[in-house]
Amino acid sequence: MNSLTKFLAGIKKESAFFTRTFRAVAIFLAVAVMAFLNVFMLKAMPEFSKWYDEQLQEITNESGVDIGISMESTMGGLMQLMSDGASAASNLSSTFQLVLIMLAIFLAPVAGGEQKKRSIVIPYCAGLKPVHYVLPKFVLYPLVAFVLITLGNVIGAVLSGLWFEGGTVTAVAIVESSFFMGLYAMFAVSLQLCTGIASGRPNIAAGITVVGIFLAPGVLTTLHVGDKYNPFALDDFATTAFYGDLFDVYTYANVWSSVVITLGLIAVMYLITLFSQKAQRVENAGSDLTI
Amino acid sequence: MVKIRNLTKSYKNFAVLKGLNMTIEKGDVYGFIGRNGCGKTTTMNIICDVLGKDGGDVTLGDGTAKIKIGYLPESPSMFGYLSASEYLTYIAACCNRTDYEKRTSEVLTLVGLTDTGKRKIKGFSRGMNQRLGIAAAIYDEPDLLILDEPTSALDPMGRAEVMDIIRNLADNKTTIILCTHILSDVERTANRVGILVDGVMVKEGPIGEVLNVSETPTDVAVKFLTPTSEAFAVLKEIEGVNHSEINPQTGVLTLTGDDADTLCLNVIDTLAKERIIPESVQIVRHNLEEIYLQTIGGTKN
Repeated sequence: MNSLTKFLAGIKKESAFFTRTFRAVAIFLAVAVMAFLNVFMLKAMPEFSKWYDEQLQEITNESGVDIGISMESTMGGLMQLMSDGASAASNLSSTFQLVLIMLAIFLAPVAGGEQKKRSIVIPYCAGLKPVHYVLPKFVLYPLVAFVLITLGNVIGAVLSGLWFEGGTVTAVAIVESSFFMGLYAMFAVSLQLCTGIASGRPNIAAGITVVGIFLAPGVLTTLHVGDKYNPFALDDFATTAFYGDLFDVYTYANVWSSVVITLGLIAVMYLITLFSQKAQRVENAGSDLTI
Repeated sequence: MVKIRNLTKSYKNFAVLKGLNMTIEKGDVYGFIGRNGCGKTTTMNIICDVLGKDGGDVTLGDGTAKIKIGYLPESPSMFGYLSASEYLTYIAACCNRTDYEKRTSEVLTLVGLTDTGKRKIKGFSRGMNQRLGIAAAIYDEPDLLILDEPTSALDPMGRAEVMDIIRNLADNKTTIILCTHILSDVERTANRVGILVDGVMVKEGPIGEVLNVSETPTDVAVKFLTPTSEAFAVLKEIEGVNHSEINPQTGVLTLTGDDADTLCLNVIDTLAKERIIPESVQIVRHNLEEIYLQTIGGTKN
């Protein structure tokens, strides 16, 4: 039995985890529905504002007190200016946040949970090698994140193109934005797998990933490296792609250096995870060891 | 098969193993006993190489080639979303078995899990889980099988089933380390015993040697359904009784003489003559529990 067979056995095991526990159905459905609702809500906002103002007017007429705030003139007015690019970009950011949070919760059992529960002791004793344990996870789950981002993005972008004016949502923009945001999601999932498996503390790893991904861009912007040489810049590249030519705003060097650095960091996280398994095995279990 | 010399292991500042020595020969069923927290699981994890040691030597086999080890941890955790056969197929991939269809069917039959079909492991009872753990541990026909509390938390039926499996494996000359608190299981199954106290092996050897079976028994225990002082008085006066003692909780009278066999016959004769019917008359032999408690107590003292 060669390494490929062992790798495929790992993929099969991880796929069974993801599909049979209804995680796959839940997250794919959530992404698709949320993408539709994101754009739909933006489209419906002027109508909603109009209805809200009518309700407000009725209250004013009955009470004689002029509240004087018009949703239509504020929110509704803003929404009238919403372009297809802005709608698609807004949906993409929401999709990323949804995928990040759902995967952080859903992947905890395989990102450190197996170390904590010692489910890997029997396979390791049977001859499982760390590479055949870690690699399938680093291939499958980042790929799932990429596909989810692409799915949510395509649905949101197509609907935005249909329901809003502007003309900046093109096939190229969809491909570019899916690529950058998908890669960013792959980075986030790799971070969770690395911290979870290496520490054996799945919940803390999920927390670190979510909080880290939300906080890091702000910190890096403060340090004036927000838009280059780091994975967090991919978020900006992805949304910018919907407003026109990405490379009008960012240089090739900034964009591709960030892509290469992200891929490099994913590889480094894979190696750290692999090394942690080789070096520690059950000693990295998060709970107290049985003596 | 396993030779451990001066094995040490600490968790932070807490020394668990303090120079452990242990020898297990090929074909042995080794009963490894000791209190909770004395270092049994740590020793087994080190033998399996899922835990590093601080010092000492662990030699497996002849020390030149790697031996195959099957390990059943205490309360084994498996991938609950797989079925039993899928889990074993994954184990087959881990241990490079190409005959996984045949072997999976064999081990499932051996542990009595053939009819679980597509049922997921998470729906298994504890007994089924334990049996599947044993199936995984023996899948690759290991040279050494390590079982950590294989019958813990099982009901009497489940325990009997698991012990049957272990006895079958022992009959097939599999070298087994059996770690359990159920000493009667060790007494029935093991041919060698090691008693671990606070990270040190305090007694080790063939079970007969540890139990002192060569020592002539001297005690006879007589139990009555309704103990009477008359019956006790009659028995105390039997020829050859050097000492007698009544356990007020159990109502058992223990008579001590020079030779328990002769004493036992005298007791039966006397009871028959006096037409007193006992519940049981038994020659008292040392059992593992007694030896174990003596050993633990001796160390404490």
